[in-house]
Amino acid sequence: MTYSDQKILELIGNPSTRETGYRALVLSYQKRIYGIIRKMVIIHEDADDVTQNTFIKAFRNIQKFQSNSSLFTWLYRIAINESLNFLEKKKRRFFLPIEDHYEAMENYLSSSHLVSGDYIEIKLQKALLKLPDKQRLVFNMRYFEDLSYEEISKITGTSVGALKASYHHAVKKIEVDVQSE
Amino acid sequence: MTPPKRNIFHTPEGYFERLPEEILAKSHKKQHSAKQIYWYGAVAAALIFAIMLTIFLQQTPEEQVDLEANLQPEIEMYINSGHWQAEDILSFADNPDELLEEIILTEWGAGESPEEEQEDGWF
Repeated sequence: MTYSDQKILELIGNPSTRETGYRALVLSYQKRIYGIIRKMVIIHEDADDVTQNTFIKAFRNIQKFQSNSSLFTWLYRIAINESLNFLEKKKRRFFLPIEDHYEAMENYLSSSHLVSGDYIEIKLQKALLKLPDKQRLVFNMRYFEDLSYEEISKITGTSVGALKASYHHAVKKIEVDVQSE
Repeated sequence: MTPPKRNIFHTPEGYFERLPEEILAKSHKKQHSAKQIYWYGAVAAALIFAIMLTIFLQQTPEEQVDLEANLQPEIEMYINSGHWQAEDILSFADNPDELLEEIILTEWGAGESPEEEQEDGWF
């Protein structure tokens, strides 16, 4: 079930229908938001946590939402910040070095029953894991989500030129990585 | 190179059917926790205040004198800077009449009344 942004905001704006509005917000965007997060954090349990936190943060800050962007763009921004923060926290845990978490994500790609890719699809994902997080994010948004550079620019607050450079740089690295074996 | 675009990531069965309720439940729980933290903070502050008050009330007169001595420089500063007037100081006292009497005696000496001093001053 999907609702228009206006309808969702109307429902949330009224205290007696607020909960219905929150539910409508989740129902309308959960699959796309989860999809973006999952491509970044790879492991379903982590994606589940980050998705829940994204929506809870959205509920708390909905009064700050300005109608000059769509609710999806706004949620997308929260989701990518939450994903990047999540990965950053994993890096900072001294008892779990960064390599270990990336190794965990890589192993998950090969062994989880919640990943169904063939050899080349898994190889691409593993190559993507070697990119810096922000470069991986730009690649996912452009390649998998089919977002335009202008849309990505609005979401990330980065210039179109920098995004193009980042994407092409990522593609070159992936090509080298995939062809090296 | 044209890598595949298919979504290879899957979720457990029924995941998206359960997710909205899970998020709402977690949101309520977090709100509840925030309220609890607020109340715990308020109760802790009240307890600290009660303990401080008890300690203050249990102090011996000597200790209270020490406290007053510590306050003395601060009071003097207020008086010297003109922030407090004599009337203000008297209004804080329990026995303003006696204090005023004492000040008069110290300033003009025993046996002299202010009226006499004032009259002398005219010449």
